Amino acid sequence: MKKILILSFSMVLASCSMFSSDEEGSLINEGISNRPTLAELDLQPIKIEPSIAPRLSLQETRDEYAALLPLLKDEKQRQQVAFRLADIEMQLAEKAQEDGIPLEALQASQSATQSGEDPKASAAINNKAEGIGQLQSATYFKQAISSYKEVLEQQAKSVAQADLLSDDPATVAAARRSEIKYMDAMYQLSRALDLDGKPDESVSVAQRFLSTFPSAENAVTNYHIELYFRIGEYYFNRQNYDNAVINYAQVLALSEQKANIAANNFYGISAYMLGWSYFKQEEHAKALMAFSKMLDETLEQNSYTQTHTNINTLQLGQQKLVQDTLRIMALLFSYQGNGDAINDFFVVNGQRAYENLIYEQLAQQHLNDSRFKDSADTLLVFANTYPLHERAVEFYVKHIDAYILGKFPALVLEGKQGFVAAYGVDGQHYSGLQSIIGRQTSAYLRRYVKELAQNEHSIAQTVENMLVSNAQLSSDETAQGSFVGLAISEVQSASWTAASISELSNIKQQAFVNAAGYYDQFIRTFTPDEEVPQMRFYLGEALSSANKFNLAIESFEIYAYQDSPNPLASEAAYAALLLFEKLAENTVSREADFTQKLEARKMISQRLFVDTFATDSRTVNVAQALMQRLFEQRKYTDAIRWSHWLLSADKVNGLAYASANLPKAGWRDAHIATHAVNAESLISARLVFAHGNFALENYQVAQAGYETLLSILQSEDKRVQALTNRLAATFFQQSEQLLASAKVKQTLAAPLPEGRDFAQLSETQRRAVTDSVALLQRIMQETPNSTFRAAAQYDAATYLLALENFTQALPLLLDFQTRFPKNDLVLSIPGKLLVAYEESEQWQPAAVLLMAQHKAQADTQLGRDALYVAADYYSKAGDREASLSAYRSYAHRYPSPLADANEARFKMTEFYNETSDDKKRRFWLNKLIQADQKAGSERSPRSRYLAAMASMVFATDADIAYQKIKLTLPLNKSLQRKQNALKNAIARYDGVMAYGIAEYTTQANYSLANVYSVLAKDLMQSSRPTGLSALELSQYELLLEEQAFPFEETSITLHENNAKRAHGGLYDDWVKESLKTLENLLPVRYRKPEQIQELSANDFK
Amino acid sequence: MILNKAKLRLLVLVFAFSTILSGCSSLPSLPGFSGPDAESTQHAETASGHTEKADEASLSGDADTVDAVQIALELTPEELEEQALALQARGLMGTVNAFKLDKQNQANLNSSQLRRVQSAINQLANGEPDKALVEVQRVIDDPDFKASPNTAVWVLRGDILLAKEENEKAISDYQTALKLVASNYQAHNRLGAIYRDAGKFDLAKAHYNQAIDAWPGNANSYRNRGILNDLYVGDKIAALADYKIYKALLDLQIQRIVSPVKSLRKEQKLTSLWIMDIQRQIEVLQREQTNG
Repeated sequence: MKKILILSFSMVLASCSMFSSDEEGSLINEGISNRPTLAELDLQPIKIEPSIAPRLSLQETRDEYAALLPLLKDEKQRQQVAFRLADIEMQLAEKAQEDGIPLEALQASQSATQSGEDPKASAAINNKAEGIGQLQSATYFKQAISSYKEVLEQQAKSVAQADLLSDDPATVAAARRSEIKYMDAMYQLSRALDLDGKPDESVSVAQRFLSTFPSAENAVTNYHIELYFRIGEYYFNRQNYDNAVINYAQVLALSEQKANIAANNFYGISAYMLGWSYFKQEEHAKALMAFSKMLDETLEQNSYTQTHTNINTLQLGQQKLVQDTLRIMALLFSYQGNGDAINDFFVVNGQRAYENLIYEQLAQQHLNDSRFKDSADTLLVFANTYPLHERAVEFYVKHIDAYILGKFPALVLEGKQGFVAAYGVDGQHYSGLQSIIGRQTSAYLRRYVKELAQNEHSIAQTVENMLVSNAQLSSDETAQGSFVGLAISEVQSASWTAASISELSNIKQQAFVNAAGYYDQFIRTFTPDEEVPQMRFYLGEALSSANKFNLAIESFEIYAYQDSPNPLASEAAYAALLLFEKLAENTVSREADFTQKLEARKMISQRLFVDTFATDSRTVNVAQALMQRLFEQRKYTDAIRWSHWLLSADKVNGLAYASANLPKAGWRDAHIATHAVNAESLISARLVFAHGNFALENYQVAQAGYETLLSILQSEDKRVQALTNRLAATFFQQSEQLLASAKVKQTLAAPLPEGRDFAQLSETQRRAVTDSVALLQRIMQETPNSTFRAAAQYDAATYLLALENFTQALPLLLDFQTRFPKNDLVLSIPGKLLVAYEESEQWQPAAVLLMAQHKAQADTQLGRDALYVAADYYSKAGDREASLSAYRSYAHRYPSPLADANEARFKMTEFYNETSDDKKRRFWLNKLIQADQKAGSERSPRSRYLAAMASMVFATDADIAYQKIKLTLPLNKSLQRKQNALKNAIARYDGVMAYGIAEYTTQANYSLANVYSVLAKDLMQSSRPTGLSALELSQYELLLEEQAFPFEETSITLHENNAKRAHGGLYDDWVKESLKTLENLLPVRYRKPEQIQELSANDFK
Repeated sequence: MILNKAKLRLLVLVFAFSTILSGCSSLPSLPGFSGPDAESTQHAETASGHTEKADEASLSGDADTVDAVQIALELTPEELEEQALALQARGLMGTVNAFKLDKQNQANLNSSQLRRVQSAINQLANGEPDKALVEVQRVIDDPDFKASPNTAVWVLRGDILLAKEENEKAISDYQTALKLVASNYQAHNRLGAIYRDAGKFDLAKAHYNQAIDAWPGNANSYRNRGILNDLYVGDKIAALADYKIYKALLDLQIQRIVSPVKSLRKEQKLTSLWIMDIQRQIEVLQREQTNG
């Protein structure tokens, strides 16, 4: 039906063209281009819009033209109608062929129709009678062929005639145009011949066409292209590949010349056939070029997006052609080196979007041939060449799958490694899981990374076990073992089997490192993810085994504390702690800063472990280690806190301990009374508690701690002595604290206040010293065997002295001497004893001490002083003899310095004065006078004073002697003695006054005045000569008065002189005595008492 | 009566001096208005140098002045000096007894306290200082007394302690008395005597001066200061001045008493001897100084 429509449409057009001679050229062209060709039959159906039904059928038109032709006289018109008639015949033949009805039968049926018969039935009868095939072809196109041949012969004649008859170029040109016009007829003839089963004739006509209208001289038409193709086909079918190649190549060449090669359908098929032609000639490279052109044409590469037409969207025929092309290209590439050949080809000829199809095809072919490695290699070449291609991941995975199919585990492993290396988080093509590539790789990465990690881990563990079981071997020996089951190559297995212990160690190390690397990649790729924690744990294990302790610790800690909750959190946390130990062992030679930081990290980890897994039984050891390390680091407050932790963790007594020692808020902590803490750990905690508080100077708390420890430990425990010492030290330090708080030592060290033998302590200081002594006494009582005992006793005695508590100080000092005779402090004990004795006025023992000192070092100043003080103390003790002896010794032995010697002499005079031993007293008094006389530069007010004092004694002696002499008869004799005594007394008193010592000057002055007064009195009271008459007696007495008066006057003058000393401020008893004496001697002048008004009752009103 | 020029001038001077003294006597001399040293100096100067002040005086007249002039016209220089001292004494006697005024600000002792004080005075007089001390101590311990202490009671206890030869305690009590009433000349005189006996002549003199400041009309204060200056300090001139005022005050007392006791006259006579003796000493000293 469609053919009918086409035919009708052609007829309409032809009809129209007949009446439009002006557009002859264009009609020819249009006719050439628009008329159906062979190619259009199947490849490009024409869609015709519905039109008005022809008024005449094709046969009727043919008949009309046939009837018309003989009637035409004009040659030109005849040619046109003949040409048109030929076309109609061709159309009728094609129609008949399409319907399967021979043309004659068709014509008959038409007649029958006209006569009422069934045309189909008639045709069927003819078919059965003549068969289908040659007969049928010959039948269909015979009339058309004939018509075309006639037209062409007539046209040839016309042209030839025109050439011969006309010199007019226009005429010749017109003839030529007519010839070109018949191009269509020639094509149709060739076509008809071909359809009529006459290929040789058809090709001949085609070749005539191409020679008549060579493409070099004429515009290339689809007729040219098609006819070349038909010729190519003709030769290809006859295995004349050379000619086939030429003609197919012409199709390609002419098509490429045309602007719109897509307009024809012979390019692709020609390229395909050209490829095959070359292939048949084993010109593979050219074949590949041709095939690639076929694909270029068919798959329409988009250069911008590097995509091509999906094969599935092609028509089935094209699909088959493409698939066959791919197949044959893959085959060709397989000859040339597989994937690399493909790659090389397109490198040279330019990349194509469809390359992947070729790779895929080739890979599939290899796979079909069980050439797994070749298949995998091919796929890998593509993936590696175009790693970001949308199918790159697919190819990469397929290449791995190929190895899997081929059972190449080692290669599978390598493939996965490569995949991970390329697309993993560290790969150059990684751009996140959410990228296009990332979405493709995600699942594979998850699987591959895990498998790789586990494989490496497995290898490492296998080797490790092997090494363990061969631990007795030296490093250069070969280990016994097997690597069966591991995903390693045979070569690798063989190599490892022959490896030495040392090499295996390296293999193991590397495997652990590799495993860690994959675990790490997994974590970094997929975090957050539910599998990440587990990977982290494995990572920690691998790193740990690889001796990457630092990183392993980090992994375990994250797993334990950040990925939690998870089942192995505590294990990981504890593993981290153990690794810190290993890390510390390996960092012995590192710089201190690193070690310190490591230590700090470890302690943080320990804290975390204990805080997080408080009920874990291992926390006890961790807490203890932490506590001890903190203590070693002198972080006592923290260490003490952990000691509390341990003590409160104890199942037995922990709750009680917590209740007694911790804030209430902490009583419900998870660790309270949870663990079976062993006794030694508890003791360790108590030690840290006590020592820590001691270090923090919380001595009272530390004291309680030590007391508790001593109550717990057995007496034979080696620590008891040290703890006892510590307990003593707490007492001692508390004592020191008390003293320091009151600044007692500063006060004791300061110079003593004037007139004091001891420092002036405030009440606060006294209380502090008292309390301090009490603590020191506790040392003596509670820790008598401690090393502090001696110091405590010594200090206690010293402080008691400061408190002037000599009663308690003395026994301690005396005991110290006895108890610690070899102690250096013993040397200072006598001094303290002396002070104690002195201050407690125990003069006798004080003197004994001093005498001992004197005897020990008599030639030193200390020894000399000791003797002097001893003499004094003996005196104070009432041991007069001893004192006298000491002074005497001193006075005899130490004449210098003068001052002390004089004092000793003075003491001697005092002693003898007390005993009224005047002779001895005067002996020493005389020594004082002599000493002063000989003193020289040592003479001092004191020496003068003592000399004056001594002189006064002698003056008084002289005075007494003078006064004892009474003026008796014979007066001249007694008076002479008296005068001599007077002179002596006066000289003595003058001598006293010469010293210029006020005290003795006034006394001497007074006494001297008195001497004269006495003389005057003595004169007046002297014995009267006997036998004197009254008158004589009266005269005698007048004479006496005259004699006595000057002495009285002198006496008064001397008293007044003495009294006048008051005017200069010297107003002592002797001046007063003189004034008193003068009151009687000169009452008007000197008897002048002050008048003080006595109080009366009125004064109170 | 016709007067020569010399006598007239003398009359004027005497008149003027007497006017000054009478003017002074009308003005209360309160110790609080000037320093004791200044006042004592003023008094000393008044005692010895009144003629210079008289030179500067102006002439005015009333009945007393006329009498004074008439008397002066007939007196020797010695008598004139005596008269001047008499006038000075009159003036001093007329001055205000600051202590008396100040005492009035104290609360009076109640009857019980007065009885005890009287008892203490009696026992002290009887030579029983211990009993006297008990009595006076009860007064001092009386809460009412503590609230309103009396200066005389402290002086009394000082006297008792002095009798017991507890000089330091006595000094402390006298000082307490002075803290209560600074013008207590009785306490000052006692302290002066005690310090003199102790050889602390400066302190003694200071207290005597304050005693005089407190009551310039108290003769004993001049006597005591004179003795101090005479025997213990050796300032004979100052002593002479004090003795003269002392005597002038004694003279005035005797004049004002109808029948003075014998002892007063004896004292008057003895003081005259002191004055004569010390004048002789001064002359000797002056001669010694003149002779080098």
